[in-house]
Amino acid sequence: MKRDSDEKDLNRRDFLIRSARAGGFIAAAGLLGYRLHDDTGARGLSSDEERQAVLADYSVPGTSRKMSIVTGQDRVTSVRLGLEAIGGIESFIKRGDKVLIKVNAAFATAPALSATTDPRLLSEVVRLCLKAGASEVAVTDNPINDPQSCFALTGIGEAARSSGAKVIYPKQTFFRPVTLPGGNLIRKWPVLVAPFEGVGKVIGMAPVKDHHRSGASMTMKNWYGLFGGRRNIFHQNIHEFIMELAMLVKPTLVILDGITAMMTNGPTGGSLADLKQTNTLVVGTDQVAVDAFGATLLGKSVHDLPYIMKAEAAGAGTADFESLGPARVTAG
Amino acid sequence: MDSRPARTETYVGLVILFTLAVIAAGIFLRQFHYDAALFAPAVPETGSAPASASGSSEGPDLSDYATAGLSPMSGVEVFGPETLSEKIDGKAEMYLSSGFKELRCRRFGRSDRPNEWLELFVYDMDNPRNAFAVFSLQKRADAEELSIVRFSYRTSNALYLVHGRHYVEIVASVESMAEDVLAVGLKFIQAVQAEGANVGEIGLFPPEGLDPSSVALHVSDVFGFNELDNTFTASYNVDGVTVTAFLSRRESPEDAARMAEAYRRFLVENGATVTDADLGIEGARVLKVFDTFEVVFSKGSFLAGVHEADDGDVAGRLAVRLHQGIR
Repeated sequence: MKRDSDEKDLNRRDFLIRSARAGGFIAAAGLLGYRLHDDTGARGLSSDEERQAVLADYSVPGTSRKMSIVTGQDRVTSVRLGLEAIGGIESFIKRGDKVLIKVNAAFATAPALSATTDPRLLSEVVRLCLKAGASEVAVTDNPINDPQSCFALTGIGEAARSSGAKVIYPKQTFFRPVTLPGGNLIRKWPVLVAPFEGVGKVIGMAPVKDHHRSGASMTMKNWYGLFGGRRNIFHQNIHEFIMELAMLVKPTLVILDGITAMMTNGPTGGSLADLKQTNTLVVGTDQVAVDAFGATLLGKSVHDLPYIMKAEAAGAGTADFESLGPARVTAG
Repeated sequence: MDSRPARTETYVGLVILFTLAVIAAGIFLRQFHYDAALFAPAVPETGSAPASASGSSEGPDLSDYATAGLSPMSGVEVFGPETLSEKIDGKAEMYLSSGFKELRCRRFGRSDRPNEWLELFVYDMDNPRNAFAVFSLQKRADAEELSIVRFSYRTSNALYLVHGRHYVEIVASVESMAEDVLAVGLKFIQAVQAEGANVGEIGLFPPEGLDPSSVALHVSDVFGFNELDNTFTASYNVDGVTVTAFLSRRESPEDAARMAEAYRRFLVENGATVTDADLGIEGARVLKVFDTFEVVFSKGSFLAGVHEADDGDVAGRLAVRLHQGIR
């Protein structure tokens, strides 16, 4: 066969020439691939843009260890007292501030089911912000269900508007890829960034709820509502993800509504039988500490909720809420 | 010396190069049409029609179950396994691990009272056992048992029932709609043909001290052990102590014995130690798992035992009664 004779005739010189050619082609292909490689990915951002897309730090210097625990049944009175106990809303909101309130409007359910931020509580917080001189207050969330239905049926939309805030419904153009520096999960993921533009202060408001995957949904888990895309995949690694949420968002304040807690069948609940009057509202600047206390309202400890200890280890706050010397107030 | 390649080799080489060129061109063109789903936010535009996600758009729109005075507030929403979390978020995992096929739901409002409405959820769980599983895992304490179907109860604002392969929830925005909720449930039961759930294992739990409302079916990944599925649990009050018994029908006595051994091994691998307690049950093992006790045995085609009991003596006594009840 000719092939056999060719191989037999191949001398050392030809072999080296062919090897050199093959090596040259491989090197050229590798170089071409390297030059064409897009390290920002599809529709990604440049490194500079990515840095800009990371959310700012909205905390007020010198207020990192403020916390109050109010015992009461009335949310409006409780939040007023809670804020007064840590220096008043004026310690956090200054004249001319633009304020963004991240509510939990996840589900299109009635306020009585306590699956979402209570509209009366929201109204009072908006009112207090405006009274303190805020130039604008906006309320937003990217709900699990249809946004229009969620904001309407929860009463959050009407509460926001009637108290002087504007509602920002999520739109596709409001999302931009965000990476948490050093994060393992939050990498180039679409986040509801547009409502943060021009904002000076951020307040998170969440109810205390049982959660089938994470054990509890409180102020840290509330930031999940800023995420777009197929965010449910984060449920596979929920504790790590909530820890990263706490690292990503550094709010001015968080308000945890435990006046009524969803003890079972969270996060949706559905029955009034899932609820318990726990008569407690917490205001604080350390979301890890606030959630650590919130766990007790569900009859749990921080060891039942691994994300709290992870968040503490990551430097997002302290799980030892007593170390903050929280002000304890009774709302009559 | 002729070192030129043979003609056949040349042709083969050209074909390979051409194929690579086509692949490269395909990749180049494809990058302009990447799958946006990974980056595009899943945001229903406000005011848009409700989702019909990945579920089938064909099928009942649920309007037939609206009773007098109720009218649809929205279109029917349909969710499949890929999209269930868009409706119920973190609770989706429980349904998915229990054989979930499809959810249809729709809101109906009182024509005369605008702020009063209810939402009907119809979960297709593939078979009655799966439907019973999700029903039992979410059962509310202190609920009012109903007799409209074998497995049904209501709370002050909601009704929950198993009807054939369907698990049904009807949730009202206010307590004053309790009668509307019940009426919608009855209408659904009358309109939909259904077979009963085959959950005969429930009758094997000894009745003394049993909390009947606590009986639950776990379809998969029971007690964190991914090999263990299809297991019933029930709570007992034994001398004032709450203890959980479990029972799982396997395919054969050999399979039951093999599963008992596998579960025992799983516990040991996770820190349990086997005690020398003798319950008088052949093959039974009492294990100490940190501060709790676990009893595991098999009898016939059943794997059974007691789970995470605080008191080893109580666990042993309940295990003996459970063993006697299995026939």
